[in-house]
Amino acid sequence: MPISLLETHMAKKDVHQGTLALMVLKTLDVLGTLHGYGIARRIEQISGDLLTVNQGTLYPVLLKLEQEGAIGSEWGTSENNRRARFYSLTRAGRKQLHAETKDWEQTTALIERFFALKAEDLK
Amino acid sequence: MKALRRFLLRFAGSITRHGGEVRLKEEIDAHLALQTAENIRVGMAPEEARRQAVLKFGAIQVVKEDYRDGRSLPAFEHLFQDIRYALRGFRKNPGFAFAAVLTLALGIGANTAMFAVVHAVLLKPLPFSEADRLMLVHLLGPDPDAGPGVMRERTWSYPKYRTFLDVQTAFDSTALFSSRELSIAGDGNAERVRAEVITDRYPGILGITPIVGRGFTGQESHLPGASPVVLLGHALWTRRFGADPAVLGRELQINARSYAVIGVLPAGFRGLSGDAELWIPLSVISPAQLGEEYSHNGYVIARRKPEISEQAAVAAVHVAGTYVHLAHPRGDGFSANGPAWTAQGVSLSASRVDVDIKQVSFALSGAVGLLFLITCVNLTNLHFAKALGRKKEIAIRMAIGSNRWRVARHFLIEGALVSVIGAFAGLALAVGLLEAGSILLPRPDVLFQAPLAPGVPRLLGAAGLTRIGAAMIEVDGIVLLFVCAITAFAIFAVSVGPALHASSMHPIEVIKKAVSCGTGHAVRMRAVLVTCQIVLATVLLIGAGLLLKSAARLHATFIGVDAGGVLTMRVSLPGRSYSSERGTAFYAQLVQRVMSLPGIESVGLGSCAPVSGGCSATGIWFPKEAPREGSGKAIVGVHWTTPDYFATLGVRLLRGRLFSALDRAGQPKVVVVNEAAARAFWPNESPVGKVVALGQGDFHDGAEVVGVVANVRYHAIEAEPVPDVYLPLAQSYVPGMQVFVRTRNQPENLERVIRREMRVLDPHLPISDVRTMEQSFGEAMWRTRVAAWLFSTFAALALLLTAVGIFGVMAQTVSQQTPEIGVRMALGAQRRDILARVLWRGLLIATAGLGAGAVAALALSRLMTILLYGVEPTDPLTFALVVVVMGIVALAACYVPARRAARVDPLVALRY
Repeated sequence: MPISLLETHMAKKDVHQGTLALMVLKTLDVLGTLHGYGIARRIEQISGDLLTVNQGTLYPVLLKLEQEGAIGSEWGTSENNRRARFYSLTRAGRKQLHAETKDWEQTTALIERFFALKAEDLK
Repeated sequence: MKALRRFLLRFAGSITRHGGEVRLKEEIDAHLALQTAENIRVGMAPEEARRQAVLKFGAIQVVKEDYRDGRSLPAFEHLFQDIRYALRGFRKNPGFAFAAVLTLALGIGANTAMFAVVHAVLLKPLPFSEADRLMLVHLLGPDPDAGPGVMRERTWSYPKYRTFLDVQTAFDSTALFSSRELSIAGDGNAERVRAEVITDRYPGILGITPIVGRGFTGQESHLPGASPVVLLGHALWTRRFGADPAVLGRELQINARSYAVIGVLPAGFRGLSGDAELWIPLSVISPAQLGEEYSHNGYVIARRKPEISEQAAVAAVHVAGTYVHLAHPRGDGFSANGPAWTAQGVSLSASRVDVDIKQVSFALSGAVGLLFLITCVNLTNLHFAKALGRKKEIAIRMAIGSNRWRVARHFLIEGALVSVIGAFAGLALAVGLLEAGSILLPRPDVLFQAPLAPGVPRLLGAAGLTRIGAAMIEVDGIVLLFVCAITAFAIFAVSVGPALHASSMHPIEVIKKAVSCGTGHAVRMRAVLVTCQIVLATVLLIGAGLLLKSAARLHATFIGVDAGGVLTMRVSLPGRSYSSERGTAFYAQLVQRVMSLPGIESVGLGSCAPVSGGCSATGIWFPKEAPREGSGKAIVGVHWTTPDYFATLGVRLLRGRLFSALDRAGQPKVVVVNEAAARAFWPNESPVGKVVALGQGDFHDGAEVVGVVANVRYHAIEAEPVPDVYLPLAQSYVPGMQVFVRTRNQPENLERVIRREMRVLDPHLPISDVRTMEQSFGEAMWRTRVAAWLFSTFAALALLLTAVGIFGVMAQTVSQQTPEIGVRMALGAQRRDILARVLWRGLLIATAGLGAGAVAALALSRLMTILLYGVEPTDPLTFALVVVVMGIVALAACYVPARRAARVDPLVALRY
């Protein structure tokens, strides 16, 4: 089921911003320095049809991450010779990514075990 | 950490608004260009490629808004918007804003000034190192004046102090000190200065070290025959020696004896008596006192050991005091079966201010606090009316989506803005008031040291400490904190009512009704506020009325002398250069010389000026009569006078004769008594011809009473006259005299010529306290007058504010009821009925407020008993008068709106 970030913008913004932020951090971790468009493309490629990101929603998330010090940015030149802002992971961001990845894995593992549970297992 | 970092960045973003948006725009452009290029690469036409890129990006405006909110703090920006809006409102209606700020400035300013004074005098730590460990130690002895068994704090004699020093265990170090006035000369003019006679440890106990030179040694202050040395105060050092550090070893003439300067104490330090400029060791200036067991005139200051609590120290002092009594068993009021003397330790901070001064301070603080409350109520009312006037606007704002919080916040911000501006103006006013006070008042502590109500026991040492406190009056951190606190209160009081009211409004109802003015609920609320105002104003008015009546009573009190045209000054002859014969001769010459000046009616000398307080008193007994009933000996005031003293001051002779030139040394001793003494000692017979003996003036052996004169109030105007005895100066010499000169001309012009005459007699003789008798009476009434002025000013302001409040509410009621009034008139109501109806409503509010106010005043006016003279705190006349005045003002404030109501044209009222 495709999720539009824009549609749920009002209702569950925080959750999705959080998820999106994690995706951004992971992308920068894997690919190194990247501009906004590059990050958007990458998230699109990985998620395939499951996630239709309105690319624009990425920018407030980037701003927040930068304000928090998880990523840094500087002007650079894009593939087609335009001025573009390039983002990269900072040390704090790497630490945050590790912590959140671990967190996420624990949560999913826990939820998996609950879903694997069948009624008869409790007897 | 992360959150804080983000908050700070956003805060910075709120201030520098634009950079971020330019950056976002550039990023979006780059993003779209990259996506378009990508789209073209996969085969789209350029136009289509661009369109798809934009579609994929999503709503650019929403992203921008999100981005902007994320970059800055929206709440913060809204706040700025509201402030700008409120300021615009003030600009549009400057009269309202000005009135609001002005009232608040008055309220906050008066309160701040009062707080600064009370804080400095009562609360602020004294400026000595570890002042909480300092204690005054007093002897505690029986007070025969007050009745059997009553103990009173007393001063020390040197031998008693030494005994105490030997047995006490609670203190690290102690010192004996006393205050006195000295004449100094040499290198400049002769002048009188206040000095402290001390023992060596005194500066150290207070944490004071000389800035130049050294302090006294133990030898210098405890052994007789030490060489004369003196410590200078900073002001005196600057004044007489030009702050020259090479002052050490220079000579200063003190009471006609040469003293070597050995040190200078730091600026601002005036001793525990608060006005000292010189410090002299006890053993140097009065070596005789080192051996006099029963010559009590020193205070003891002591620094408690850190490990000993205050209670433990008090207990230890009590025990030590008992030892002192055993070692020196006789004393004033001594009787074999009377209570034993002991000693009492009091922390320095507890001795700061006399009880009555505390009450005066609290009464005035209460009054100014009430004024502040009235100010706040008035502003609440004003803002309330304003909020009602803007009802429609608010309703529309809410109808198109503004939330209640935002509307309420708008009023809060408006109130806060007015309050903060008012607070700044008030602070400026307070600084100005304190500044003006310090310039206008002869001494900063005059309000606190004027003679107070009689019969109140003085705290020993309090006068000096109060003086120290008064010197510390300033706007400091604590005072600023106080300003913040009352400003917060003002913000709350001013904006909460309107904010609640406006935000609880139902927009639909308001717009439907299209009534431009208040609802019944709102009018009721305002009426309640006005009633509160009347209550507060009534309390203040009654306080002011009682004080004014006291001041009038005080003014009308006959103190027993005719003060007009009399100039007075103090002359003290130094004991070293004036023997009693030489002194007596000097005084005779002085009288003669002054008498020969043109325009002089008479010249008299007396040892003590009327209403000055601090006259000598001594025991009296009757050698030729049987011992009288009652415990102990009677005490009388004792005054040395020349024969013309009575004529000069206009003191009437009631019986017998006055002194004459024949009553001189070698002749039979005579005295004159006052009416109070005659009544007290010889209630049913004539005192003339009786024989009395006195404890002072070498009159132990008895003297004949030759006359009775009218009572003179020597202590204070408020104090009932006490029995007084007058001795002829020619038969009993004292070195310090007050000169009284009655002239036919302006007494002020006399000073110069009299000074010239004195210089001819003795060029080094200092003259002090030159003033007319009228001036000294003015000073004696100062406290009551100031209290009455302050209270009256506060009360007048309160009355004005209340009248404005009543007027506002009634005017609003009338304008809201205009259609109703129109209907009534159309149905036949007379103008008179309408007028009466409105006035009746006003009267209702006024009656409720006045009733409650009178009851509150009844409860509160007791607190100011000590300020009153000749008036009961429940004086019915004052209460009645205030109620009438307040009622008239209330009705007058109602009358204008009532007239307007009565003039309503029913046709106009019904049509619109």
